Amino acid sequence: MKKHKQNYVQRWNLQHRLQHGALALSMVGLIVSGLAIKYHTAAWAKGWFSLIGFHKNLILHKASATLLVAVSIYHVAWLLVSWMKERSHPFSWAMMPNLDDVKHAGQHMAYLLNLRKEPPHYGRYTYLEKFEYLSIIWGMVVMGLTGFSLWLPETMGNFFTREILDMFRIIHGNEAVVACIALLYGHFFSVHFNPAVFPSSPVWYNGKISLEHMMEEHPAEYQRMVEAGQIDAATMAGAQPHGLSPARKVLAFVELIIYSAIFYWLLISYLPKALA
Amino acid sequence: MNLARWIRAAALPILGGLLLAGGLMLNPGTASAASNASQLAVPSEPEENKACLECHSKNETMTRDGKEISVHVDGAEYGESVHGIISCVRCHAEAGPEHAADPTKPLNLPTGRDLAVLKSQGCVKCHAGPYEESYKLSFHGVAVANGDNRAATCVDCHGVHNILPSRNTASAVSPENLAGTCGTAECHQNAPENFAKGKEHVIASEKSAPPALHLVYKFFMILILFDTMKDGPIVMFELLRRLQAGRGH
Repeated sequence: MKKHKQNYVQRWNLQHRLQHGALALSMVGLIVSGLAIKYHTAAWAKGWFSLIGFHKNLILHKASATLLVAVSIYHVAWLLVSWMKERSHPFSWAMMPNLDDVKHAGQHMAYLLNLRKEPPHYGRYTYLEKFEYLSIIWGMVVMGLTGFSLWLPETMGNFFTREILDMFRIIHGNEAVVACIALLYGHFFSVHFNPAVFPSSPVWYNGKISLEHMMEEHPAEYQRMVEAGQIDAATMAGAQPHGLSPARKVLAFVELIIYSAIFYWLLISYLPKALA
Repeated sequence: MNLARWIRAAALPILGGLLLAGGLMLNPGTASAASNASQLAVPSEPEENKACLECHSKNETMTRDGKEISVHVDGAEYGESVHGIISCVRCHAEAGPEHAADPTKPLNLPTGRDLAVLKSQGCVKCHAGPYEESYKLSFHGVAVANGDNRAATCVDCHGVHNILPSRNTASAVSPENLAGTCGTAECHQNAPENFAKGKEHVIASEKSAPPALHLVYKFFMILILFDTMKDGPIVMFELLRRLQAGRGH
């Protein structure tokens, strides 16, 4: 098969997928076990604890945290090795934020408010994807430091007073909500619930992105690959990005109701807490 | 752009979402029950306690759950404790006339950690309010409420028959002794002095909490609200744009 006849591009290699897989697995473990503790009076949490037990849930939380730290260290090492051996290993700066991202954020806002016809001309990673990546780094530092202090208070108590440790617990439980909003609301929308890719973008398991999806979400990268001869533009001649089939329009409508409901629910829950 | 059409298209599903959210909020939730505090106002006659101490001042033991358990109570120590003016049965309702008639008959009390958990449930009958509320919010309280009895209960920090106010230097929870109380072998072994540098029984969401703690809590409430207002509309308007795309094609 000639490469340019393909209707997809290999977006992620095995390294990307394995690292994302370990990250995702650790996050699922952390979120399930962590939210069960935070919302322990909820019926689902009670059910979960009667199934696994409070102590085993805690072990699951710590094991998932250990996996997350391990995959983060691996990621940094992998980046360093790729960077140092750039000739034999592919290394990309595509995740680096730049001024275009600020411009794209403004253009995206205009697009969302119907003041602009087309979405921004995104490259390999959109400004939202870069923001997510930075959020993971920020989240790792905050959750890692506070979580480790709650895990081993006797040791960390040598460096922090009781009042600081109490603060860490408030930070840990609330930064978790920040992460969940970013992940389950933002990230899951862009890669799962977006009607264009529902039920899932295949990038995370087989690394492939369809040319159609690429034209729509990463037009600048698509264009660059066409110009470099890596994609035959004829494959997608006449394609209409941004269109949805009738079934997917129904899905989008139902999702809009659900997502609005979650939005209002968060607003009603947190507005009084912030203003009180 | 046709603004009127845009608003009309947006209104229906977003109002639907508002209704759904309203429905979720109607869930009655957990309104805190009225507390039956200040039963303490009825001073009782410690005279009764003499009858209890007739036996319990002796250094006797019994066997329960295969364990040798002391039944000894230091009457003098109890008399000096904050609860010295209260009759034994206030906390030991299980020891009624039947117990006086036949002291060897088991009272069906658990032993070990289970007993600490059970007895601590009695403390909050009088000590309701912020002490109970803050304990429920603490990690100790959450663990115990969900069946992990290893976590500290009231009696583990405050003691049993020897409870003294924290301002008393002999108290287990006085600033001088607190780190040592936390740092027993079964709990936070070798807890450093820093363990005593902060307040217990605080509710971060309330203004009475230490200012720094309350500030951190506030910061996160505002951050979560900011995140909601950032991510919510992005998703909602993206979906609206999707629904609009292809219209008229």
